[in-house]
Amino acid sequence: MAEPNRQTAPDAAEAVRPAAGWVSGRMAGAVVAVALAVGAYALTRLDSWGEQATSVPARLQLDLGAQAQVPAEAIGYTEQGSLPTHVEEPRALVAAPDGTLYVAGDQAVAHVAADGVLLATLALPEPPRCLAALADAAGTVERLVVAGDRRVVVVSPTGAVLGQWPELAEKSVITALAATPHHVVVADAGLREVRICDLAGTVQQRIGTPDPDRNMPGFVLPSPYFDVVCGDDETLWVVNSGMRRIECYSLSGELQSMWGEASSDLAGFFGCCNPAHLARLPDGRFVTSEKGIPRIKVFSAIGELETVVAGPRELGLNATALVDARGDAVGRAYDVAVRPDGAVLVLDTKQRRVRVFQPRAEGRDPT
Amino acid sequence: MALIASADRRRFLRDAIRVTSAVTLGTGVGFLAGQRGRPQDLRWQLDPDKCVGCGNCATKCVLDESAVKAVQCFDMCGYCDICTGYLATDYQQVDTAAENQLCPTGALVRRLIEEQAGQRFYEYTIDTPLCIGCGVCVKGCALMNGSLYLQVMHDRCVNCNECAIAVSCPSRAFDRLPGETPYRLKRQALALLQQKAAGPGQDAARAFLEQVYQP
Repeated sequence: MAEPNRQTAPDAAEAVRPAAGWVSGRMAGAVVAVALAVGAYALTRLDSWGEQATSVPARLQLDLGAQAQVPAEAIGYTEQGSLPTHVEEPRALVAAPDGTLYVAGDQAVAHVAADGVLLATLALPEPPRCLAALADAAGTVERLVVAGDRRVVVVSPTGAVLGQWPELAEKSVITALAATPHHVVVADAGLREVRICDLAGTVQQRIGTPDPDRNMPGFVLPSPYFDVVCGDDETLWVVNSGMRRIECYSLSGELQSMWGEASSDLAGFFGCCNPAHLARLPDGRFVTSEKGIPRIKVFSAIGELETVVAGPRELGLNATALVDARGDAVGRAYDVAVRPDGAVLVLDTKQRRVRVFQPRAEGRDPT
Repeated sequence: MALIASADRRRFLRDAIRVTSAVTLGTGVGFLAGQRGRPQDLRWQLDPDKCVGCGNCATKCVLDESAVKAVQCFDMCGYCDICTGYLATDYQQVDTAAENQLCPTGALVRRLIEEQAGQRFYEYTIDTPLCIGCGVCVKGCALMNGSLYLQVMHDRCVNCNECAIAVSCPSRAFDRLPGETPYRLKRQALALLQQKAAGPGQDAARAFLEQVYQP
């Protein structure tokens, strides 16, 4: 039997030497794999939103993410739509008993129907800051009281100027008006007082004089947000924003009760001076609107948080938009009003629309 | 030959005088033109109404310690007990403990100035050497009153030809102001200062107003 030719047949124990082409294929595969790995890493690290563009460490950033988040289960209202304001620079909002709206802005008051149709534009002698509507027992608006920088004017629903009050003091900054059938209540942030006037503007009562003996510091107003609404029982509810509370006064000026606490939690009022705006639901509950971290909330008649109408997310603001230091964005707040059917109206000055929030059918559990 | 040489010398002298006169005249005119067209001394400054407080001022300045610092407009400040520029958003107590402060370097100083019926009022000032210009307090304050804002401090700024912060500023808040008025107040602060300076006995306000840029 002839022996195998060892020079031509490979030894079984000898490793098969790969061909040169196979080596370069493996190299190419390795290069592709490394390239894919690097690509995948780069893709995951890609700063698509520019969050790392400034290379500023997190400790040098202001993160309002936690405060801006309102749990979905705490929100008891849904936005049903919005209405046009019919003014370029809306500043204040009032809901009339008949369901129509009055929006003060530019140098006029726009009377807007419940479906958003402009009913009338009432021209004013100067740009308005705030307004109140005086209605009769049947709910028909008989006159509007509008405050500007220098004067308070009384106009009819058709736009006729029925009267002008005496010129305001130099330091006066009227931020809110409220009306009872016989009085007009003026909140003056500049003078830090609430004045109860008759329809001709004669002051009948002043509220807010500091009285340390009675532990009454007066109104603390770090910023020009100072709202007032009338109660049903000859009372006034005044926002003492620097003390983060709502105070109840009799028409004779006696402090009767108060509620509210400072906190960045949902149940409290955030920052130095909140709430910025106040409204009252038909059943006596309160609607508050905060600035800084815009939150619109409903409190019970005794000041317990019931539900949230809208948080920053519902108002279209994310945590980044909240932290905007530019001059025009400082201290943004949304005026609120309440329709007779319980809908909460929010004046969005940026969008120039009145946003309508209706209560959800399901429960309200802010916790 | 002598005549030709003499004529050349005269021509040479005449040409020399012409050239010298032309050069002198050109230099003089050029100097005067240069004097008239000489650029003003301009200084970098940021517009606080455009500033978003991104934090670049702290990290992009060529100096180890940024030339940008926070400033306080006391006329706009509410002297609040709960200052969102001073207290961390998740503060546990309203006090001066480090964990309750927003400023990473503790550069915002809080001082009680008045207490009235349980309500306390505080003054907030900047400890300038500690301030790194990050703008965290500016953003916190902007949630409420916006009395704190950033400015380039010209005792520190080296006035680079191309300011590294200006290049990276996302809101293009940087520009150059005349050297004699290199500071720019916030629009609201300027209005308040102008109002104050118009009153009687406000020499200090008027003197301050002369040092700030008024567009």
